[in-house]
Amino acid sequence: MAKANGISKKLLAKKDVNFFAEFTANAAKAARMLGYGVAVGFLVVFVVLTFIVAFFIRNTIIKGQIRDLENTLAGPEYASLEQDAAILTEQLNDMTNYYYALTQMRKTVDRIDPAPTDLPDVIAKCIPSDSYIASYQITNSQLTMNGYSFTYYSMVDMVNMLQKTSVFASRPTLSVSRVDLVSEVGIDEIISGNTVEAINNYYGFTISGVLVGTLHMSVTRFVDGAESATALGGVETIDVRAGNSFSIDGVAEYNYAGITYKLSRIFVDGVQVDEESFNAIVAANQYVDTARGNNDIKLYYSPVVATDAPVEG
Amino acid sequence: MNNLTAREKGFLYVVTLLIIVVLAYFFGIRTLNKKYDEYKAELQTLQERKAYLDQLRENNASMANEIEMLKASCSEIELSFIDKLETECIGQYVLKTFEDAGCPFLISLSTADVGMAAVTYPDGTTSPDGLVCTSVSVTYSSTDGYTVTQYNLNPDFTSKATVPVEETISQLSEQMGQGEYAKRKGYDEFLKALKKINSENPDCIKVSNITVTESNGVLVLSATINFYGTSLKNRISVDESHAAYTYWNGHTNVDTKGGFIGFPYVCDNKDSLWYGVQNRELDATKAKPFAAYWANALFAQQLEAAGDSYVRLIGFEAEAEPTPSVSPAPAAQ
Repeated sequence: MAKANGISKKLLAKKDVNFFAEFTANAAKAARMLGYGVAVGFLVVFVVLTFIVAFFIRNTIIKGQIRDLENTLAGPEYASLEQDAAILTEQLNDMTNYYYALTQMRKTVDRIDPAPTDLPDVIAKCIPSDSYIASYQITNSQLTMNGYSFTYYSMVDMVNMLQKTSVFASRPTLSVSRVDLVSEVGIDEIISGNTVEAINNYYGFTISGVLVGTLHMSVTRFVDGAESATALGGVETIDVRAGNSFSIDGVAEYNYAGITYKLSRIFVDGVQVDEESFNAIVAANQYVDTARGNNDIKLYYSPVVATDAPVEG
Repeated sequence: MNNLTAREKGFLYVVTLLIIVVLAYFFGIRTLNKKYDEYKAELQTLQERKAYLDQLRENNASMANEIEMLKASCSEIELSFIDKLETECIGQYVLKTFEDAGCPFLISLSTADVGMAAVTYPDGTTSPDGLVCTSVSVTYSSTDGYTVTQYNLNPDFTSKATVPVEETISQLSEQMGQGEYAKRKGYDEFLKALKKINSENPDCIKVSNITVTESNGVLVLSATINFYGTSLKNRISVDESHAAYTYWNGHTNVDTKGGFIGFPYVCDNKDSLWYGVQNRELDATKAKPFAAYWANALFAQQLEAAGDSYVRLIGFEAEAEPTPSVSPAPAAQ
């Protein structure tokens, strides 16, 4: 057996084969690993690029949305809204003031009751047969009558009849006195020769009283805490017969020009309603009272929602 | 590079990859993310602004709606008042209403402007718009149930009367205390007129005072009627109504040929219904500034000689015979 350097050639050939086989295997492994590495590298780069592209697309989309929104807001539908709001607010304020002024005028005139033109008919039916009315004056709130009668009961009888038809709001004042004919016309006119003026003694009377009428409740709503007093609408007038009760419903909240207001205070003829009564009114959502005079009711409201404008940009 | 081992190459490769990834993150992903956050915030702000503007648009719509409702309400209130108070229209209306009701015997009518309180806004400033009120005071007389009546030209005693004055007086003299003159008229008619006026426009026309007083066998009937209107600078509505008290219902094309200024001793204007009527407000002793003192005295003497008749004094001869004793008295000039 041939030997090289004392090692069998056959053995050497076998070792070479093994070496090359191992070398080849290592080389294949290294190539495979390299392939994996490159693949992973590509994958990583691909993923990164994908993210970048995705994010870029996302940003492009959102930029598009911003641009669309900006275009929308710059469009005719939105561009003048704030300017319109300012103009409308001014118009509304002017119109509210004008409406308030008109309703105030209406209230002034409505509070003036006409003189009752039916009252003369009522008076005519209540004059006793022994009486006559020499004069009367009727205003929108007052009746004054002067008359004469042969009996001093006629005056009170007449007032009694008038009271049955609810003419007077309060107790009328009365006066009656015997007419002193002698001192008025003189004895000569009563007895002249054989002629005698045989008239009964008679009495002059005066009846005066306040007439039953309608009372007027004016209701005005204001914004509470505003720099200058601002009315919510105009003045409402409620007509109520004296002594009757009246109510204002739905007082707890008030909607005006799209804004909801909540009742905060009540003033009646300049006097603030106490807290306990106020809470009861809010709980009942109704203001109830009895008409004793012409009342001026002021309801103050605070806005429930205040919308602040976000700043653009 | 060729001297590097595979391990070193691999390490280098990994480092390079890491650098690429880090650079891609810092300059790509992070920047894009940061930008995205900014865009997102900007979008959110814009969305909030859009929401605010949408809300504002709704508010504007509500305000516009409220303004329209207020305008309608204002118009309604405006029209509830008399647009323009024309004194002559109101006077004509009042006189006609009483006459139509059967109460024509006028004693007096006067109008007055009633001052109304200024209207203030809630903040205390004075409104340029305001209330106006014209007050009409009338006094009528009832009849006495005996004496024949006369008002305006009913019956006519002027020189232009279609029925001769003597004939009219003769007929009326026989009717004293007879027929319709035997009734006391005027009171019920006065109340009827007041009721009509009070119900005509209760929002604007109000009878404020009724006074009835007996006097010498007749009733003196007085009333005050207030007419309420507005003076509106900001008026919205147009009043197209034609109420009897807002536009002229009286005579038109009135004959003005016979009108004159200054009553002479005897009216010699043939076109005038006063033709032939003697001025009854004369005082012969009153000074005549245009004349000498002696002429003034002579005038008084000559008037006395003419039986205090100016007609005889000046030798007036009427074409149509006037009735001297029934002439109404003109105001002294």
